Amino acid sequence: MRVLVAEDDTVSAKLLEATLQEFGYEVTVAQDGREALHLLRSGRFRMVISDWEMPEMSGLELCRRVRQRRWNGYIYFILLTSNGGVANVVEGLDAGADDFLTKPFHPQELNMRLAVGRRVISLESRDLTIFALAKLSESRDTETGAHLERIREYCRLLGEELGRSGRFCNEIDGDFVEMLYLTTPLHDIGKVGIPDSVLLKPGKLTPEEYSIMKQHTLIGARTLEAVAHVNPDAEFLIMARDIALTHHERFDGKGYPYGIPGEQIPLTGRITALADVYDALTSKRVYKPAFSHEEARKIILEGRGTQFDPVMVDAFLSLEDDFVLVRERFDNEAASRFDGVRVELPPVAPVA
Amino acid sequence: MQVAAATTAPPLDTEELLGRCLGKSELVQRVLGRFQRQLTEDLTRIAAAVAAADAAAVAKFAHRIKGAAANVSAHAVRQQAAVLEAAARAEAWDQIRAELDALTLERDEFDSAWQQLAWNSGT
Repeated sequence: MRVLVAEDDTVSAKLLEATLQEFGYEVTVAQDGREALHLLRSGRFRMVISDWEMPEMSGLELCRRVRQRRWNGYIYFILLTSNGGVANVVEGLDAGADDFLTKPFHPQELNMRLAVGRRVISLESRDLTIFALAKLSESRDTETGAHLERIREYCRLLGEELGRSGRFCNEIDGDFVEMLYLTTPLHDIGKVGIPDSVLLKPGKLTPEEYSIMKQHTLIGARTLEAVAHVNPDAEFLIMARDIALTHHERFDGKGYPYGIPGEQIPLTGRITALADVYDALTSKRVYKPAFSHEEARKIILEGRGTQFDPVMVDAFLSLEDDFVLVRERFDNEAASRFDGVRVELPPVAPVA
Repeated sequence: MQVAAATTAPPLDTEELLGRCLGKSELVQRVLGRFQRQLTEDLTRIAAAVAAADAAAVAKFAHRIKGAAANVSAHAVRQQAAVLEAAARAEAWDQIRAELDALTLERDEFDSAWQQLAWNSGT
Protein backbone atom coordinates (compact mmCIF):
# COMPACT_ATOMS: atom_id res chain seq x y z
CA MET A 1 0.00 0.00 0.00
CA ARG A 2 1.22 3.49 -0.83
CA VAL A 3 1.72 6.13 1.81
CA LEU A 4 2.38 9.80 1.24
CA VAL A 5 4.65 11.41 3.80
CA ALA A 6 4.62 15.19 4.05
CA GLU A 7 7.61 16.36 6.04
CA ASP A 8 10.12 19.13 5.44
CA ASP A 9 12.59 17.87 8.04
CA THR A 10 14.66 15.45 5.99
CA VAL A 11 15.82 13.58 9.07
CA SER A 12 12.32 12.76 10.22
CA ALA A 13 11.31 12.05 6.64
CA LYS A 14 14.14 9.58 6.27
CA LEU A 15 13.27 7.82 9.49
CA LEU A 16 9.62 7.65 8.61
CA GLU A 17 10.37 6.37 5.15
CA ALA A 18 12.71 3.68 6.43
CA THR A 19 10.24 2.58 9.09
CA LEU A 20 7.31 2.47 6.73
CA GLN A 21 9.26 0.54 4.13
CA GLU A 22 10.24 -1.93 6.81
CA PHE A 23 6.55 -2.51 7.41
CA GLY A 24 5.95 -3.12 3.74
CA TYR A 25 4.62 0.23 2.61
CA GLU A 26 5.59 2.09 -0.56
CA VAL A 27 6.59 5.59 0.45
CA THR A 28 6.61 8.90 -1.37
CA VAL A 29 7.92 11.96 0.44
CA ALA A 30 6.69 15.50 -0.11
CA GLN A 31 8.62 18.39 1.39
CA ASP A 32 5.72 20.68 2.06
CA GLY A 33 1.95 20.85 2.07
CA ARG A 34 1.64 22.16 -1.44
CA GLU A 35 3.72 19.40 -2.94
CA ALA A 36 1.72 16.89 -0.91
CA LEU A 37 -1.58 18.20 -2.23
CA HIS A 38 -0.23 18.05 -5.76
CA LEU A 39 0.80 14.43 -5.26
CA LEU A 40 -2.59 13.57 -3.77
CA ARG A 41 -4.25 14.74 -6.95
CA SER A 42 -2.54 11.89 -8.78
CA GLY A 43 -5.06 9.67 -7.02
CA ARG A 44 -2.41 7.18 -5.99
CA PHE A 45 -2.60 7.67 -2.25
CA ARG A 46 -5.21 6.71 0.31
CA MET A 47 -2.97 7.29 3.36
CA VAL A 48 -1.12 10.41 4.41
CA ILE A 49 1.27 11.00 7.28
CA SER A 50 1.92 14.68 7.62
CA ASP A 51 4.03 16.81 9.85
CA TRP A 52 2.34 19.82 11.39
CA GLU A 53 4.84 22.60 10.73
CA MET A 54 5.89 22.86 7.12
CA PRO A 55 6.75 25.67 4.72
CA GLU A 56 4.24 26.77 2.03
CA MET A 57 1.34 24.96 3.68
CA SER A 58 1.19 23.49 7.17
CA GLY A 59 -0.02 19.98 7.88
CA LEU A 60 -3.10 21.41 9.51
CA GLU A 61 -3.93 23.43 6.44
CA LEU A 62 -3.19 20.45 4.21
CA CYS A 63 -5.61 18.37 6.22
CA ARG A 64 -8.33 21.00 5.89
CA ARG A 65 -7.82 21.16 2.14
CA VAL A 66 -7.98 17.39 1.87
CA ARG A 67 -11.29 17.33 3.71
CA GLN A 68 -12.70 20.15 1.68
CA ARG A 69 -12.93 18.35 -1.62
CA ARG A 70 -14.28 15.00 -2.75
CA TRP A 71 -11.71 12.39 -3.60
CA ASN A 72 -11.92 9.10 -5.40
CA GLY A 73 -11.88 7.33 -2.05
CA TYR A 74 -11.39 8.19 1.59
CA ILE A 75 -8.00 9.62 2.48
CA TYR A 76 -6.80 8.51 5.90
CA PHE A 77 -4.85 11.35 7.48
CA ILE A 78 -2.37 11.03 10.33
CA LEU A 79 -0.92 14.23 11.75
CA LEU A 80 2.55 13.98 13.18
CA THR A 81 3.90 16.66 15.48
CA SER A 82 6.33 17.37 18.25
CA ASN A 83 3.83 19.68 19.91
CA GLY A 84 1.90 17.75 22.52
CA GLY A 85 -1.03 18.96 24.52
CA VAL A 86 -4.78 18.59 24.28
CA ALA A 87 -5.30 21.88 22.44
CA ASN A 88 -3.23 20.63 19.54
CA VAL A 89 -5.01 17.31 19.40
CA VAL A 90 -8.34 19.08 19.30
CA GLU A 91 -7.19 21.45 16.59
CA GLY A 92 -5.85 18.58 14.54
CA LEU A 93 -8.94 16.45 14.83
CA ASP A 94 -11.09 19.48 14.17
CA ALA A 95 -9.27 19.98 10.89
CA GLY A 96 -10.34 16.46 10.00
CA ALA A 97 -7.33 14.36 10.92
CA ASP A 98 -8.08 10.70 11.58
CA ASP A 99 -5.23 10.18 14.01
CA PHE A 100 -2.61 12.12 15.79
CA LEU A 101 0.89 10.96 16.64
CA THR A 102 3.56 12.80 18.54
CA LYS A 103 7.20 12.88 17.57
CA PRO A 104 9.38 11.04 18.10
CA PHE A 105 7.18 8.19 17.03
CA HIS A 106 7.49 4.62 18.14
CA PRO A 107 7.76 2.37 15.08
CA GLN A 108 5.37 -0.24 16.45
CA GLU A 109 2.80 2.33 17.42
CA LEU A 110 2.99 3.88 13.97
CA ASN A 111 2.49 0.48 12.42
CA MET A 112 -0.56 -0.17 14.54
CA ARG A 113 -2.11 3.18 13.69
CA LEU A 114 -1.52 2.52 10.00
CA ALA A 115 -3.17 -0.87 10.33
CA VAL A 116 -6.25 0.90 11.67
CA GLY A 117 -6.13 3.18 8.67
CA ARG A 118 -5.97 0.25 6.32
CA ARG A 119 -9.00 -1.32 7.90
CA VAL A 120 -10.95 1.90 7.60
CA ILE A 121 -10.10 2.22 3.94
CA SER A 122 -10.85 -1.39 3.09
CA LEU A 123 -14.22 -1.23 4.83
CA GLU A 124 -15.37 1.64 2.73
CA SER A 125 -14.69 -0.13 -0.52
CA ARG A 126 -16.10 -3.42 0.72
CA ASP A 127 -19.50 -2.02 1.68
CA LEU A 128 -19.84 -0.07 -1.54
CA THR A 129 -18.82 -3.05 -3.65
CA ILE A 130 -21.31 -5.34 -1.96
CA PHE A 131 -24.14 -2.95 -2.50
CA ALA A 132 -23.11 -2.34 -6.10
CA LEU A 133 -23.16 -6.09 -6.71
CA ALA A 134 -26.59 -6.35 -5.19
CA LYS A 135 -27.89 -3.49 -7.31
CA LEU A 136 -26.44 -5.09 -10.41
CA SER A 137 -28.18 -8.35 -9.70
CA GLU A 138 -31.56 -6.65 -9.68
CA SER A 139 -30.90 -4.40 -12.67
CA ARG A 140 -32.86 -6.62 -15.04
CA ASP A 141 -35.92 -6.44 -12.82
CA THR A 142 -37.57 -3.27 -14.05
CA GLU A 143 -39.76 -2.48 -11.14
CA THR A 144 -37.74 -2.92 -8.01
CA GLY A 145 -36.50 0.69 -7.68
CA ALA A 146 -35.28 1.31 -4.17
CA HIS A 147 -36.29 -2.18 -3.01
CA LEU A 148 -32.82 -2.98 -1.72
CA GLU A 149 -32.50 0.33 0.11
CA ARG A 150 -35.84 -0.22 1.78
CA ILE A 151 -35.41 -3.86 2.65
CA ARG A 152 -32.15 -3.33 4.46
CA GLU A 153 -33.74 -0.56 6.49
CA TYR A 154 -36.67 -2.85 7.39
CA CYS A 155 -34.27 -5.61 8.39
CA ARG A 156 -32.19 -3.26 10.48
CA LEU A 157 -35.31 -2.08 12.30
CA LEU A 158 -36.45 -5.63 12.93
CA GLY A 159 -32.98 -6.68 14.04
CA GLU A 160 -32.72 -3.82 16.50
CA GLU A 161 -36.18 -4.48 17.88
CA LEU A 162 -35.50 -8.18 18.31
CA GLY A 163 -32.16 -7.38 19.92
CA ARG A 164 -33.90 -5.12 22.43
CA SER A 165 -36.43 -7.80 23.37
CA GLY A 166 -33.78 -9.80 25.22
CA ARG A 167 -34.86 -13.06 23.69
CA PHE A 168 -32.02 -13.03 21.18
CA CYS A 169 -29.39 -11.39 23.35
CA ASN A 170 -26.90 -14.14 22.54
CA GLU A 171 -27.34 -13.81 18.83
CA ILE A 172 -28.18 -10.20 18.16
CA ASP A 173 -25.90 -7.33 18.98
CA GLY A 174 -25.06 -4.10 17.17
CA ASP A 175 -22.55 -5.91 15.04
CA PHE A 176 -25.15 -8.49 13.94
CA VAL A 177 -27.55 -5.74 12.96
CA GLU A 178 -24.93 -3.92 10.91
CA MET A 179 -23.99 -7.16 9.19
CA LEU A 180 -27.65 -7.78 8.45
CA TYR A 181 -27.90 -4.31 6.93
CA LEU A 182 -24.92 -5.06 4.75
CA THR A 183 -25.94 -8.54 3.58
CA THR A 184 -29.71 -8.35 3.14
CA PRO A 185 -29.38 -6.64 -0.25
CA LEU A 186 -27.73 -9.82 -1.54
CA HIS A 187 -30.82 -11.96 -0.89
CA ASP A 188 -31.84 -12.18 -4.55
CA ILE A 189 -28.40 -12.26 -6.07
CA GLY A 190 -29.23 -15.67 -7.50
CA LYS A 191 -31.70 -14.07 -9.89
CA VAL A 192 -28.85 -13.37 -12.27
CA GLY A 193 -29.11 -17.05 -13.12
CA ILE A 194 -32.78 -16.92 -14.01
CA PRO A 195 -33.60 -16.47 -17.73
CA ASP A 196 -35.43 -13.34 -18.93
CA SER A 197 -38.41 -15.37 -20.08
CA VAL A 198 -39.11 -16.34 -16.49
CA LEU A 199 -37.72 -13.38 -14.56
CA LEU A 200 -39.41 -10.72 -16.69
CA LYS A 201 -42.63 -12.53 -17.49
CA PRO A 202 -45.48 -10.12 -16.79
CA GLY A 203 -48.08 -12.80 -16.24
CA LYS A 204 -48.46 -15.63 -13.80
CA LEU A 205 -45.71 -18.25 -13.91
CA THR A 206 -46.46 -21.80 -14.94
CA PRO A 207 -45.44 -24.55 -12.47
CA GLU A 208 -42.32 -25.23 -14.57
CA GLU A 209 -41.42 -21.55 -14.69
CA TYR A 210 -42.04 -21.27 -10.97
CA SER A 211 -39.66 -24.10 -10.18
CA ILE A 212 -37.02 -22.36 -12.30
CA MET A 213 -37.62 -19.14 -10.40
CA LYS A 214 -37.27 -20.88 -7.07
CA GLN A 215 -33.74 -21.84 -8.07
CA HIS A 216 -32.55 -18.33 -7.40
CA THR A 217 -32.22 -19.20 -3.73
CA LEU A 218 -29.88 -22.10 -4.46
CA ILE A 219 -27.92 -20.22 -7.11
CA GLY A 220 -27.32 -17.29 -4.77
CA ALA A 221 -26.36 -19.52 -1.86
CA ARG A 222 -24.01 -21.60 -3.96
CA THR A 223 -22.16 -18.53 -5.23
CA LEU A 224 -21.82 -16.99 -1.79
CA GLU A 225 -20.81 -20.30 -0.25
CA ALA A 226 -18.05 -20.69 -2.83
CA VAL A 227 -16.63 -17.28 -1.97
CA ALA A 228 -17.02 -17.84 1.78
CA HIS A 229 -15.09 -21.08 1.42
CA VAL A 230 -12.13 -19.23 -0.05
CA ASN A 231 -12.26 -16.45 2.53
CA PRO A 232 -13.12 -17.88 5.95
CA ASP A 233 -12.56 -14.52 7.63
CA ALA A 234 -15.48 -12.96 5.82
CA GLU A 235 -18.24 -13.67 8.35
CA PHE A 236 -20.69 -11.60 6.45
CA LEU A 237 -20.57 -13.99 3.49
CA ILE A 238 -21.97 -16.76 5.66
CA MET A 239 -24.82 -14.55 6.74
CA ALA A 240 -25.41 -13.51 3.14
CA ARG A 241 -25.53 -17.16 2.09
CA ASP A 242 -28.09 -17.99 4.79
CA ILE A 243 -30.29 -15.12 3.72
CA ALA A 244 -30.07 -15.93 0.02
CA LEU A 245 -30.92 -19.55 0.73
CA THR A 246 -33.73 -19.24 3.25
CA HIS A 247 -35.60 -15.98 2.69
CA HIS A 248 -38.41 -17.89 0.94
CA GLU A 249 -38.77 -20.55 3.60
CA ARG A 250 -41.98 -20.53 5.60
CA PHE A 251 -42.40 -20.96 9.32
CA ASP A 252 -44.79 -23.88 8.70
CA GLY A 253 -42.21 -25.64 6.55
CA LYS A 254 -44.07 -25.16 3.27
CA GLY A 255 -41.55 -22.78 1.77
CA TYR A 256 -38.64 -23.34 -0.59
CA PRO A 257 -36.05 -24.51 -1.52
CA TYR A 258 -35.94 -27.12 1.27
CA GLY A 259 -39.20 -26.64 3.19
CA ILE A 260 -37.49 -26.36 6.55
CA PRO A 261 -39.75 -25.31 9.44
CA GLY A 262 -39.73 -22.95 12.40
CA GLU A 263 -36.49 -22.11 14.09
CA GLN A 264 -34.53 -24.39 11.80
CA ILE A 265 -34.71 -21.46 9.46
CA PRO A 266 -31.82 -19.15 10.33
CA LEU A 267 -32.92 -16.04 12.17
CA THR A 268 -31.61 -13.84 9.37
CA GLY A 269 -33.79 -15.71 6.87
CA ARG A 270 -36.91 -15.28 9.02
CA ILE A 271 -36.25 -11.58 9.38
CA THR A 272 -35.63 -11.03 5.67
CA ALA A 273 -38.70 -13.06 4.71
CA LEU A 274 -41.01 -10.62 6.43
CA ALA A 275 -39.21 -7.54 5.16
CA ASP A 276 -39.19 -8.87 1.60
CA VAL A 277 -42.91 -9.65 1.59
CA TYR A 278 -43.82 -6.32 3.17
CA ASP A 279 -41.88 -4.49 0.49
CA ALA A 280 -43.38 -6.55 -2.31
CA LEU A 281 -46.88 -5.89 -1.00
CA THR A 282 -46.37 -2.15 -0.63
CA SER A 283 -44.69 -1.73 -4.02
CA LYS A 284 -46.26 -1.54 -7.42
CA ARG A 285 -45.65 -4.58 -9.57
CA VAL A 286 -46.73 -5.48 -13.08
CA TYR A 287 -49.37 -7.81 -11.76
CA LYS A 288 -50.62 -5.68 -8.84
CA PRO A 289 -50.80 -2.12 -7.52
CA ALA A 290 -48.98 -0.99 -4.40
CA PHE A 291 -50.96 -1.96 -1.32
CA SER A 292 -51.35 0.44 1.57
CA HIS A 293 -49.59 -0.18 4.83
CA GLU A 294 -52.86 -1.29 6.42
CA GLU A 295 -53.52 -3.84 3.68
CA ALA A 296 -49.97 -5.18 3.94
CA ARG A 297 -50.25 -5.35 7.70
CA LYS A 298 -53.42 -7.38 7.43
CA ILE A 299 -51.83 -9.88 5.08
CA ILE A 300 -48.76 -10.22 7.28
CA LEU A 301 -50.91 -10.80 10.33
CA GLU A 302 -52.77 -13.51 8.46
CA GLY A 303 -49.40 -15.17 7.88
CA ARG A 304 -48.40 -15.09 11.54
CA GLY A 305 -47.34 -18.58 12.54
CA THR A 306 -47.76 -19.98 9.04
CA GLN A 307 -45.67 -17.99 6.62
CA PHE A 308 -43.92 -15.90 9.24
CA ASP A 309 -42.32 -16.48 12.62
CA PRO A 310 -44.78 -15.00 15.18
CA VAL A 311 -41.89 -13.31 16.97
CA MET A 312 -40.96 -11.47 13.76
CA VAL A 313 -44.55 -10.41 13.20
CA ASP A 314 -44.83 -9.10 16.75
CA ALA A 315 -41.63 -7.12 16.26
CA PHE A 316 -43.06 -5.71 13.02
CA LEU A 317 -46.20 -4.63 14.85
CA SER A 318 -44.20 -2.48 17.25
CA LEU A 319 -42.33 -0.91 14.34
CA GLU A 320 -45.21 0.06 12.06
CA ASP A 321 -44.58 3.78 12.18
CA ASP A 322 -40.91 3.24 11.37
CA PHE A 323 -41.76 1.01 8.42
CA VAL A 324 -44.11 3.64 7.04
CA LEU A 325 -41.41 6.27 7.39
CA VAL A 326 -38.89 4.14 5.51
CA ARG A 327 -41.34 3.65 2.71
CA GLU A 328 -41.91 7.39 2.42
CA ARG A 329 -38.21 8.08 2.52
CA PHE A 330 -37.45 5.81 -0.43
CA ASP A 331 -40.34 6.81 -2.61
CA ASN A 332 -40.32 4.62 -5.72
CA GLU A 333 -42.35 7.09 -7.67
CA ALA A 334 -39.62 9.74 -7.70
CA ALA A 335 -38.23 9.78 -11.21
CA SER A 336 -34.61 9.02 -11.96
CA ARG A 337 -32.76 10.32 -14.98
CA PHE A 338 -32.31 6.76 -16.12
CA ASP A 339 -35.95 5.71 -16.04
CA GLY A 340 -37.25 4.55 -19.37
CA VAL A 341 -33.78 3.72 -20.64
CA ARG A 342 -34.00 0.07 -21.52
CA VAL A 343 -31.63 -1.98 -23.54
CA GLU A 344 -33.30 -2.95 -26.79
CA LEU A 345 -32.35 -6.50 -27.68
CA PRO A 346 -32.82 -7.73 -31.23
CA PRO A 347 -35.84 -10.06 -31.56
CA VAL A 348 -34.91 -13.74 -31.36
CA ALA A 349 -36.01 -15.74 -34.39
CA PRO A 350 -38.26 -18.65 -33.40
CA VAL A 351 -36.61 -22.08 -33.60
CA ALA A 352 -38.23 -24.14 -36.34
CA MET B 1 11.76 38.25 29.53
CA GLN B 2 14.22 35.62 30.52
CA VAL B 3 13.50 32.09 29.38
CA ALA B 4 15.13 29.39 31.49
CA ALA B 5 18.07 27.63 29.88
CA ALA B 6 19.79 24.68 31.44
CA THR B 7 20.53 21.55 29.50
CA THR B 8 21.44 18.43 31.37
CA ALA B 9 20.41 15.93 28.73
CA PRO B 10 22.98 13.69 27.02
CA PRO B 11 24.12 14.69 23.54
CA LEU B 12 23.11 11.38 22.00
CA ASP B 13 21.14 8.36 23.25
CA THR B 14 22.29 5.70 20.85
CA GLU B 15 20.28 2.85 22.35
CA GLU B 16 17.04 4.73 22.01
CA LEU B 17 17.88 5.68 18.45
CA LEU B 18 18.84 2.15 17.56
CA GLY B 19 15.46 0.99 18.85
CA ARG B 20 13.69 3.54 16.72
CA CYS B 21 15.72 2.42 13.71
CA LEU B 22 14.53 -1.13 14.27
CA GLY B 23 18.00 -2.25 15.31
CA LYS B 24 19.70 -1.29 12.08
CA SER B 25 23.00 0.44 12.79
CA GLU B 26 23.46 1.26 9.12
CA LEU B 27 20.21 3.21 9.18
CA VAL B 28 21.35 4.91 12.39
CA GLN B 29 24.50 6.16 10.66
CA ARG B 30 22.63 7.42 7.62
CA VAL B 31 20.06 9.20 9.75
CA LEU B 32 22.72 10.78 11.98
CA GLY B 33 24.60 11.95 8.92
CA ARG B 34 21.49 13.60 7.57
CA PHE B 35 20.78 15.18 10.91
CA GLN B 36 24.25 16.62 11.13
CA ARG B 37 24.01 18.12 7.65
CA GLN B 38 20.55 19.56 8.21
CA LEU B 39 21.52 20.92 11.61
CA THR B 40 24.53 22.73 10.19
CA GLU B 41 22.45 24.21 7.38
CA ASP B 42 19.68 25.26 9.74
CA LEU B 43 22.16 26.93 12.09
CA THR B 44 23.40 28.98 9.16
CA ARG B 45 19.82 29.91 8.30
CA ILE B 46 19.16 30.95 11.88
CA ALA B 47 22.26 33.16 11.89
CA ALA B 48 20.97 34.84 8.72
CA ALA B 49 17.54 35.27 10.31
CA VAL B 50 19.10 36.87 13.39
CA ALA B 51 21.02 39.28 11.16
CA ALA B 52 17.75 40.13 9.41
CA ALA B 53 15.94 40.44 12.79
CA ASP B 54 13.40 37.85 11.61
CA ALA B 55 12.23 36.21 14.86
CA ALA B 56 9.60 34.12 13.11
CA ALA B 57 12.20 32.48 10.88
CA VAL B 58 14.41 31.79 13.89
CA ALA B 59 11.50 30.09 15.62
CA LYS B 60 10.63 28.05 12.53
CA PHE B 61 14.12 26.63 12.10
CA ALA B 62 14.61 26.10 15.82
CA HIS B 63 11.35 24.16 15.80
CA ARG B 64 12.56 21.98 12.96
CA ILE B 65 15.85 21.31 14.71
CA LYS B 66 13.91 20.39 17.83
CA GLY B 67 11.81 17.84 15.96
CA ALA B 68 14.71 16.30 14.12
CA ALA B 69 16.80 16.09 17.27
CA ALA B 70 13.93 14.36 19.06
CA ASN B 71 13.81 11.79 16.29
CA VAL B 72 17.54 11.02 16.51
CA SER B 73 17.61 11.11 20.32
CA ALA B 74 20.05 14.04 20.37
CA HIS B 75 18.44 15.23 23.56
CA ALA B 76 20.77 18.10 24.44
CA VAL B 77 20.30 19.65 21.02
CA ARG B 78 16.58 19.10 21.30
CA GLN B 79 16.35 20.84 24.65
CA GLN B 80 18.46 23.78 23.57
CA ALA B 81 16.52 24.15 20.34
CA ALA B 82 13.31 24.27 22.39
CA VAL B 83 14.76 27.07 24.51
CA LEU B 84 15.82 29.00 21.40
CA GLU B 85 12.38 28.49 19.86
CA ALA B 86 10.68 29.86 22.96
CA ALA B 87 12.98 32.89 23.02
CA ALA B 88 12.32 33.55 19.35
CA ARG B 89 8.56 33.33 19.80
CA ALA B 90 8.89 35.81 22.66
CA GLU B 91 11.11 37.99 20.41
CA ALA B 92 13.62 38.32 23.26
CA TRP B 93 16.52 39.40 21.05
CA ASP B 94 19.20 39.54 23.72
CA GLN B 95 18.43 36.02 24.69
CA ILE B 96 18.08 34.78 21.13
CA ARG B 97 21.72 35.50 20.35
CA ALA B 98 22.90 33.82 23.53
CA GLU B 99 20.74 30.76 22.95
CA LEU B 100 21.96 30.46 19.38
CA ASP B 101 25.53 30.36 20.65
CA ALA B 102 24.54 27.70 23.18
CA LEU B 103 22.88 25.67 20.44
CA THR B 104 26.02 25.86 18.32
CA LEU B 105 27.96 24.51 21.28
CA GLU B 106 25.49 21.65 21.62
CA ARG B 107 25.96 20.91 17.94
CA ASP B 108 29.70 20.57 18.57
CA GLU B 109 28.99 18.24 21.51
CA PHE B 110 26.78 16.18 19.28
CA ASP B 111 29.50 15.99 16.63
CA SER B 112 31.98 14.61 19.19
CA ALA B 113 29.47 12.11 20.48
CA TRP B 114 28.79 10.93 16.98
CA GLN B 115 32.48 10.68 16.06
CA GLN B 116 32.92 8.60 19.18
CA LEU B 117 30.10 6.33 18.13
CA ALA B 118 31.47 5.93 14.62
CA TRP B 119 34.96 5.30 15.99
CA ASN B 120 33.65 2.75 18.49
CA SER B 121 31.69 0.80 15.95
CA GLY B 122 34.69 0.82 13.64
CA THR B 123 33.06 2.71 10.76
